[in-house]
Amino acid sequence: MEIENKKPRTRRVKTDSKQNPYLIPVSIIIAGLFMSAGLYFSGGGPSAGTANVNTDPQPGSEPAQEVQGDVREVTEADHIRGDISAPVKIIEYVDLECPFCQRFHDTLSTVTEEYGDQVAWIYRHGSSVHQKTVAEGAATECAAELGGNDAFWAYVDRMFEISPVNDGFDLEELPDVAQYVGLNRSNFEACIESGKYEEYVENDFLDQQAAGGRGTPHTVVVAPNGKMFPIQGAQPYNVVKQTIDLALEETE
Amino acid sequence: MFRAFKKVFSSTIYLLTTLLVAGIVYIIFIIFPNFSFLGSVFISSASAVKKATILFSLIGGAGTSNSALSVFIVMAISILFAVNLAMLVFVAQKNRATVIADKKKNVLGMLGGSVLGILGIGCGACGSLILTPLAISIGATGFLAVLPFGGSEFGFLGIALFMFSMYSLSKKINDPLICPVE
Repeated sequence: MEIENKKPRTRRVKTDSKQNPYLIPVSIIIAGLFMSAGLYFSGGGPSAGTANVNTDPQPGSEPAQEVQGDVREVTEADHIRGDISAPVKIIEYVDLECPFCQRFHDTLSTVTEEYGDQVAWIYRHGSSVHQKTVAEGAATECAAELGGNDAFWAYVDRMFEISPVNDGFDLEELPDVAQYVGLNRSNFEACIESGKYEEYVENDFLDQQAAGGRGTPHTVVVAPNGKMFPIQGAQPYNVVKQTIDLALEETE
Repeated sequence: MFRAFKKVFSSTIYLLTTLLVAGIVYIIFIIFPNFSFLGSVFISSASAVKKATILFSLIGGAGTSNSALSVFIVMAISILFAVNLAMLVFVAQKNRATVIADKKKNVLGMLGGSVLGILGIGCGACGSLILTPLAISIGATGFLAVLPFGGSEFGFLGIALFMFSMYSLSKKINDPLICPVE
């Protein structure tokens, strides 16, 4: 009987000389990380450092406080809830379409009520990934133009009350909100159509980037001595409260 | 794969170290967006107790400042990272001579998984922490807006990469210690 001379089954061993198939894609990812990290730590990209827009106090306004870093100075021209001379200032960069801003709005409302004249809440327009941010930000500026600071805050409060966020709000309803807070509808519509506040809103985005904001909400708590505590995200009430307490102690 | 898990994690040291590493990675991921905030807190004149309280509040606040999806990704990446590391060390101890090539592959897999995981961290609706400023800088926020999970997709890719790495390591762990025939 002839015995078949079979070759033994072999298993191929990978050698080091073979190029690793994952090397290129992973290298790309790592390169992307370094690029992102560079942008992250340099303050948000090419516009960083050029964001100090509207730094001059408005005519008739009093500069409240000099702050450190690249955050634009707080002046009477800002949208402020509370007293501009309050020892602690909470500068918030907000996107009306961001659900976390909606959540954080309640936190800051509670905090400002609780701390009274010890804190001032400053609203600035922040940018994230949503498409309706500029249009809605401009609408709040129109509300401020037509009805002053109170109308501005009433408009923002109402937007957060009714907006489904995540670009779910119908821009056709912006005048309805204006009417709801007691503004003249036709004047508001004319203001919106002029588009005159869109650049103003976008300038706030640059300020947000310069302040280290990466997404919304981004909040900078400014202590009486100008020391800044930049908080990223909708942190819980405890974190905000502890930060304000800390800031209140920073007097020298 | 479960057989490999049993081999690795039947050792108490491996199990405890894995849990510790997972916890540390999770904390780093959660406080990552607020490193500069913590920096400001830690150089302030506050007492050590106050500083520690803020740190713990920040860690505890993961649920309010992130979407549920984002927290899930962070947890998954942290656990997978630690498990991968444990398996990699186990394989390296099992046979140092023959696993150099595979170790390289798995280390790259872990790095890739971690990087993609980091890209996926952030507000699921308001944009990824890293991707959003990058997209704003290059005027590509529209790209993120069309992603159904606003950038969290990268987190899923990271998880997939870790799973692949784990699968590859578990095969190595289950392999008998023999010199294969060429």
